[in-house]
Amino acid sequence: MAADPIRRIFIANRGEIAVRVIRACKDLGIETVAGVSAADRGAMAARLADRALCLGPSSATQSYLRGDLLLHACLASGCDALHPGYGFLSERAAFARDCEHAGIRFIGPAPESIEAMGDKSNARAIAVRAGVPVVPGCDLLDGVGHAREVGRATGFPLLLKARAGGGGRGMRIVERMDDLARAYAEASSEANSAFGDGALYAERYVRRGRHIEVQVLGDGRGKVLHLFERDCTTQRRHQKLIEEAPSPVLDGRTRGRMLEAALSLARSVDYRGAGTIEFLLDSDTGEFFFLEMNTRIQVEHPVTEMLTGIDIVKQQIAVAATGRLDLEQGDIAARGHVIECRINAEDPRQGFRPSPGRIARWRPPRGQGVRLDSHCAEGDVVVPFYDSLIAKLIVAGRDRQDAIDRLLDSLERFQVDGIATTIAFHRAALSHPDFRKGEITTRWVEESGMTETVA
Amino acid sequence: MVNAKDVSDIMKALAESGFEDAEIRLDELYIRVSSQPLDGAGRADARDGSPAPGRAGPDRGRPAAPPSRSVPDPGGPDRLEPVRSPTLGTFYRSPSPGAPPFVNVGDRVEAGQALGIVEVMKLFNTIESEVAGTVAEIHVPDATLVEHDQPLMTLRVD
Repeated sequence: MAADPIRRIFIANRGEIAVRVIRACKDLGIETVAGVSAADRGAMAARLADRALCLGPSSATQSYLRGDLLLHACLASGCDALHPGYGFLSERAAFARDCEHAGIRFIGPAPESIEAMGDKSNARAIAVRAGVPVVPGCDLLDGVGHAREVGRATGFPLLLKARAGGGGRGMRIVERMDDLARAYAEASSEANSAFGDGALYAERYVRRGRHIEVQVLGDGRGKVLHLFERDCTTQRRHQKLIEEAPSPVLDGRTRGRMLEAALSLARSVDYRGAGTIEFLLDSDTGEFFFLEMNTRIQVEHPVTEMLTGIDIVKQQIAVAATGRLDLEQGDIAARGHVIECRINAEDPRQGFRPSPGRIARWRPPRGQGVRLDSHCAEGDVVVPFYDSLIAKLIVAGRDRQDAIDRLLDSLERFQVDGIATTIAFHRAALSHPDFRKGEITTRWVEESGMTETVA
Repeated sequence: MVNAKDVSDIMKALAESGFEDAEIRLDELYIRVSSQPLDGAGRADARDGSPAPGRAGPDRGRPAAPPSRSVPDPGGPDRLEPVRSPTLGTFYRSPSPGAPPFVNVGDRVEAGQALGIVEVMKLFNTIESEVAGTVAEIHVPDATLVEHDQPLMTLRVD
């Protein structure tokens, strides 16, 4: 078991998460070396780190996605551990393995865990073995007769989707058994002409779904803890926009079963470090189903940090350094209500088109219970090469209503000029009666038409 | 082998000498010290030799700023051309340990001639000269971590 202290960490990421990890390292007295692209030479992560090394040109494929450059820089600058952040190489099992072979501690789970959870059907099989509910359905249909059988077993509506699928092509929602044969033929031929593969899956269609996930921490030797759930139902095209905890819709019994399911899944793979188990909650039936496990720090981890007072990034580093989790489930309590808005450099009035440019004015709100995770400062340039996240505004309140009011107040005081942002969208969303009542689904942003109402 | 104290002694001697610049050449070793600010290419960062971020000056967090490409009197007889590292990696001046360096200051080079090697995880990239000229300055010591686009040496173009 790794017992040597970690003295210097290589930051293999950019943007707000690089800044977040560097700050945690500073608190812990750990030195940092940031690997940056040419576009990020002057970025906040490069300014804050003890040292910054330019990996390559601006394009991520020539910098942040180059495992060989990252590892070379990590070794040559004397680092003993690497933090991958999220995205980029954070869930590439081969990269985690290369780090370990080079004697660098990868701050994340074992490569085997990344591999096991990275493959969708494998992850589903692990969930089934761990007794975690999965969306009822089948692996692959071998004809319309088989589809009828699945329909009888799982019930309607049924979702048909292409094995090679993507972008909704080869996908059909089937309401009744009578419609099944025709929908099957259409979806299969559509998939065949789009992907050259007509094979279809079938699963229960969840009409009013919510996205709820459980944060876990493990020591890699069987000890696994949960840090409660986050509700990430407010999404646009599967991109999370607002996350909150606790979930406004879970009753105590369902929450208990969901937390237990997450622990049982994480325990079954001896999970190490921080991970998130995502579930789909069917609002009509109250059932929940395993979607996937993310084997890395999540963008929305601050929600849980403010809810529990536990610093998840520091826990990741501690587990990597000592192989131990100095926490017990009984020490972890949730207090109040926390909501996070992801603020992107996008124009909600123009279909959320990215809006890179120089930030002429940057006046974030401050106050009790207000946290801002950002890599931006006045005068900085939002470059067009990467994702458009510029800040996460996280606010805690006594209860949900209080948190919404405080967050609206903070959004109102957040002044950004020079680039378009999604601040106005968040104000509209949080003020919307559907959101206030907690009566939304993962398709609410599109279906409510509220993006058109952003003033 | 020259150590930090030797360099500081050299700088002290320079300060007392009344001269502004000194160039010292001992076999493969080349040191240039100056009491004047160096030109852009000359300011190339050589701190990479010792990976001790905790001990460097207040500027240590910043990557070496790419020096300006403008040189006095471009096209004149003394046109200077920086040779930059195409990638982050470790710069080697010779083809193998103990072998003589590809080039030394003052050497003539032809276009296409090997000037050094940048290694990334055991993959060796040969740095070839794009011009014919003379090696005016070598900015980076052997076996040093270099960044993408960092100037390795400066050539005086024919």
